[in-house]
Amino acid sequence: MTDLNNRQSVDAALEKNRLPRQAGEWIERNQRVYFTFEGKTYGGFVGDTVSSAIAASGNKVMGRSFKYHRSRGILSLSNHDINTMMQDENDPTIRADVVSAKEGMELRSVNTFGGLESDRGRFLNLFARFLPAGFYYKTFHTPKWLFPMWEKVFRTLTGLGVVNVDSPRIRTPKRYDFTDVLVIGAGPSGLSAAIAAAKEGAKVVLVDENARPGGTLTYDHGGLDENLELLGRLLDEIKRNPGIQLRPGTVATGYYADNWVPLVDEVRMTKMRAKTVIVASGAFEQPCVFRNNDLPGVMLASAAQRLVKRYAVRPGRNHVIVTSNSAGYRAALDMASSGASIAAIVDFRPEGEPSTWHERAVGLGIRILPGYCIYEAIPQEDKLGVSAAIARKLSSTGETEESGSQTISCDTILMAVGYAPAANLLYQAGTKMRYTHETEQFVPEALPDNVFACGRVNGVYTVPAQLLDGDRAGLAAAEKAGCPVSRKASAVPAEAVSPSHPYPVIAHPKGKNFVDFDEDLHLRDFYVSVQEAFDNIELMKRFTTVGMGPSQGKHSNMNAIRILARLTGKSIAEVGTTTARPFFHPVKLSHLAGRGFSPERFTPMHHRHAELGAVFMDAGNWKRPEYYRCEGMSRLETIRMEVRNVRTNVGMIDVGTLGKIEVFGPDSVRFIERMYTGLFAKQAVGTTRYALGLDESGVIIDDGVVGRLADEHFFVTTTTTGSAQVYREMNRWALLWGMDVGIVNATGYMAAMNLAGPKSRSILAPHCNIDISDESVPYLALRTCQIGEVLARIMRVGFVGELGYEIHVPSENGLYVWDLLMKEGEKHGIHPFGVEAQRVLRLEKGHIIVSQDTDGLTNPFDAACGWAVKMNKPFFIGQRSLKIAQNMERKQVLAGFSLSRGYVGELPKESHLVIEGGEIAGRITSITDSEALGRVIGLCFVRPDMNVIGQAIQFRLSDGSMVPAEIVATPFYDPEGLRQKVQG
Amino acid sequence: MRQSPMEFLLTRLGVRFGEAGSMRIALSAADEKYESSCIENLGLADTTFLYRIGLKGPKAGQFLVSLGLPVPQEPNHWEPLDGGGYLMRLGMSEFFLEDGPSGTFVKYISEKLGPDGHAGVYPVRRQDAGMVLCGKMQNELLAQTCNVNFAGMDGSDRIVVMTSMTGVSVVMIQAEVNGEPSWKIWCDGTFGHYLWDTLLEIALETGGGVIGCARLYPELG
Repeated sequence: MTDLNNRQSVDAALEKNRLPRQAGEWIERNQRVYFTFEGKTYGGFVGDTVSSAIAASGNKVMGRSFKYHRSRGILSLSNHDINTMMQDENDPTIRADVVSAKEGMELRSVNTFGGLESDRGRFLNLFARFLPAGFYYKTFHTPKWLFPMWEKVFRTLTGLGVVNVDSPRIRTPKRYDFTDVLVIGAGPSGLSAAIAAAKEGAKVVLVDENARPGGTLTYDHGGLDENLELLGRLLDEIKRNPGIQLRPGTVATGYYADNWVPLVDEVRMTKMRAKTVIVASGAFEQPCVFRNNDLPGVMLASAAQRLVKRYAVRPGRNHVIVTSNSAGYRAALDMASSGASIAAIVDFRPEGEPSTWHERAVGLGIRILPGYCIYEAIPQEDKLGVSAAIARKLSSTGETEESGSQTISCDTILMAVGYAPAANLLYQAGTKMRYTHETEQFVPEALPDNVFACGRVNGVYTVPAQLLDGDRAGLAAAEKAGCPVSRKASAVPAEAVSPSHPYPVIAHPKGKNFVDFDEDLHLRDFYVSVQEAFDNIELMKRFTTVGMGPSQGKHSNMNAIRILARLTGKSIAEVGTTTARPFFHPVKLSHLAGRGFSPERFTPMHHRHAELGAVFMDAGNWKRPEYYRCEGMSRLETIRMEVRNVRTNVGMIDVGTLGKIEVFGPDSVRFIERMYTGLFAKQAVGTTRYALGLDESGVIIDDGVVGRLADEHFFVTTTTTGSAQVYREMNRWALLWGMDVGIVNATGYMAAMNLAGPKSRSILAPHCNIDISDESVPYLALRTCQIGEVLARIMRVGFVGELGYEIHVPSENGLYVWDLLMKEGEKHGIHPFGVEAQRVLRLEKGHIIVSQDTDGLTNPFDAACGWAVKMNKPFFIGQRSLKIAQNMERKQVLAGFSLSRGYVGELPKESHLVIEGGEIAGRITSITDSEALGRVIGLCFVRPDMNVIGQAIQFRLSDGSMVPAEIVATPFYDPEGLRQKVQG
Repeated sequence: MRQSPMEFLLTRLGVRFGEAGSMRIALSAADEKYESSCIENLGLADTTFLYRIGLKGPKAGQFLVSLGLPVPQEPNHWEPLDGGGYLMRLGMSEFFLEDGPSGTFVKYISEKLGPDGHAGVYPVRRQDAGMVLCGKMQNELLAQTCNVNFAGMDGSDRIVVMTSMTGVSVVMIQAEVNGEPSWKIWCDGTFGHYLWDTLLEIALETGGGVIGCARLYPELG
């Protein structure tokens, strides 16, 4: 960073345009900051923005435009345009107008090739006439082969800041907040509204995007101190009222249903929920459209006033003000009071300004040209500033008259021709707006319940009227928020003179009269759009891209609407506005991302799995061991070892993620009968049955096991990912059917593990307080017992095809039981196995996994599960659809397949297609290389006519090569099921 | 034999362990001086060791009344139990009961109901992770994790809040624990690790941290 000597030497030069102390200024003159911009050192004061500090040095050029790379300077000084967008190493979108200058910043301009001054992209400006709006729709299509090159060229040319993917991750916590009344905007009407609401007892949060409250009161003074005095009184009142929380530097960036408003400040996003919302967001001052209106030195009058009053920076030395309202006169008076000379006030209105501001300007000897406009700004020789303005008289029809043209020397042109309401939040809230010629703007016609508007956004511009309007809105909002209101609001007087000109747009044969500064759109682009029949506002927006840049049309949409209305002969109301969507103002991704909340679910044995070397995988929001890493073995080798150990020895898997639901009550049997396709009415207590669940269209949605614990008590398991849905559906159906059942989701309450393999009984028996021999606990039995000191349920199930026990215990005892069995298993060679081994084991048995071997259209007949469907039952969910499906020609069936023994080559994968006669005839749903069987097996969907044992089929790999296979019977392994029924 | 979902995390933090309710519990934090400041500022304690049970069914309320328990008249309210426990009414026919360290209601009800429940009264063998949040910054932590306006609540209303915190479904009540205004929080035990970890991360950023159960239940110390 800059050294001390350097700082001292630059101090004087950098304060070239700094004014003496201004009343109400925002800078701390006793605290210096230094930073660099484009490699040059700048100094400012604490409180300066980057733009104001640079402007204080006399440097007007702060950026390059998006398309033509034209020099750009301050336009709004309010974060509403991108003329002054900068970047540093980590942040590609620094809005220099509002970002505080900080010690050590190293800034550079965005969108340049070789730096701001020597930007090679500036030559694009010379080709502007060949690059009208929409040029890319009609060019570069042919020859086709050149398109990739053009694409590359345009991707290089376009874009603003450069994203540094190595930027440190910024964690910005989000928070929720609540209030009675949220006031958005702390200008005169917002301050007045907050005070009124709080006085009636409402809890008020008052936010403003600026670093300090006050809005126009902080800068729009007309050379007087009245507004500052008023602001002091209002802020004193706010400070004294504990019911008002003032949050400056906070942008309300959107409006969502039920008064949810995201408030974005420097460090976080707050999701504010308010009983009522008052939108006092003001209005965006609009530029005047004339040739070269984008030169550095041409700015909104309010920007110049902000520079002077907030930062004590002189925008220039010799000003021309083009205006159509009293604000232009006040700006002239403010500039004059700062010591600048005013070359002229160019007033669109032939009658001039009717208020006393006119008299004051005349009193200062300011030259006024009523009925004139600025036709063109004349650039300096280096094109980096303004040297003069050409003013022309306007005819009665609004055309410029060449005769009487006046060239006025100046270095600054201030534009004060009107406003567009900052009504984005109102639109998002569903406000019906109407266009009024009284103020030449859209104003709320019908506001939603609990939303109020006041001030400029409501079409109220004079300060006394704004105070009344705020008071009215504050009282109404407090009352709506439930506070008894003690008084009635006074009437708000209408505006005597429109603050906005109906058409501040001046045509010029040479163009460069910009309407949209973000996108470099000049007036001619809009003519082209209408010529091409993109002549409604939404189409025009897409064709021209007006309002689609980073400032989202804040300074272009209103003029675009006026131009379109003029070109199509429609009224502005008929043209209407584009849709305002949240966020209406840019929000940093770090704020949007905030602190990530992604809930994860762990079984009670999770940390033990980690100690055992588990490699975890996601199953819904659960973390499950995929396999347990073994020293010196690959993933595949490890999984094979886990499979082999279950087949020949014993293994244990954590199945606590399975859904577990208890169903109690007198109607529990009828309920289970209806929920699942099998027969359960005569199911004996102490037994389990396979359960297949369908939706009403007969599609398989889940499967599991139904265990009967007592006559009126069932224990149901579901798939891991299906548990929440099944539980929800059970409750829904119980309610609809009016059944007397109690349904308890025990998924999280119970840990579960499957002890499987020929030696499983030897491990469980010593710790179980009941006889678990085959006679006492046969295949498919369910028993309640104690394992160690823990109450447990054991089910003899055979998902993996070996003697096995699914053990369910309370979660808090899960680790104890797991450890107990693993310890006992040590002498039997037990090894934990993961999800991947289980997938292999179940596939060898030909068991399906719902949603892997089925899809959103698969019914039980398609999945070869017809055996599990008892169509002769009175009712089950999906039965009616299945009755229809039974009589329809089937399109696919699930079948077993095998590659030839000894197949060498790339293995097909799940979802590889079955090809028959060059056509798609199915797809693989599961596939594995089975060590136990010595061949590759799997399940696939095929056409029903192909589902014949021994039928040759072929799969197409990703590279197009074909792999032959044949249809085989399932189960592949132990087809008689002897191993799971083995008497150990 | 019982294990808290947060035991592993507490071990990592080096807390001083003891035992209560057949469970290893964090009696005090590793740094007892810092723990004292957490009580003031923002403290998070694992109280999973307390026994709890749920009841469902049309006759569940009647059953609890028959046992002489103070049953809340309205859903989403709670009543204190002798021994420092709480009886919460989660719905018209759903209840949640947690014993204090010396309470015996859970065991009693459990034995009365048996594994299959009574007609119209069904046991819910709850295995929640239980936590206590205390300290003057508790509302700040809640504001960052939950979209309920806790600041506007009055503990004397004895309201049961069922909401989502950091994306996890929780049951919460505002109660005094050992004289400290606190929030008691319960979630499905399988989310306990995640919820605890997330809350603790925010608590640490806010100048808080772990407190041991002995701070809340001196009889354990």
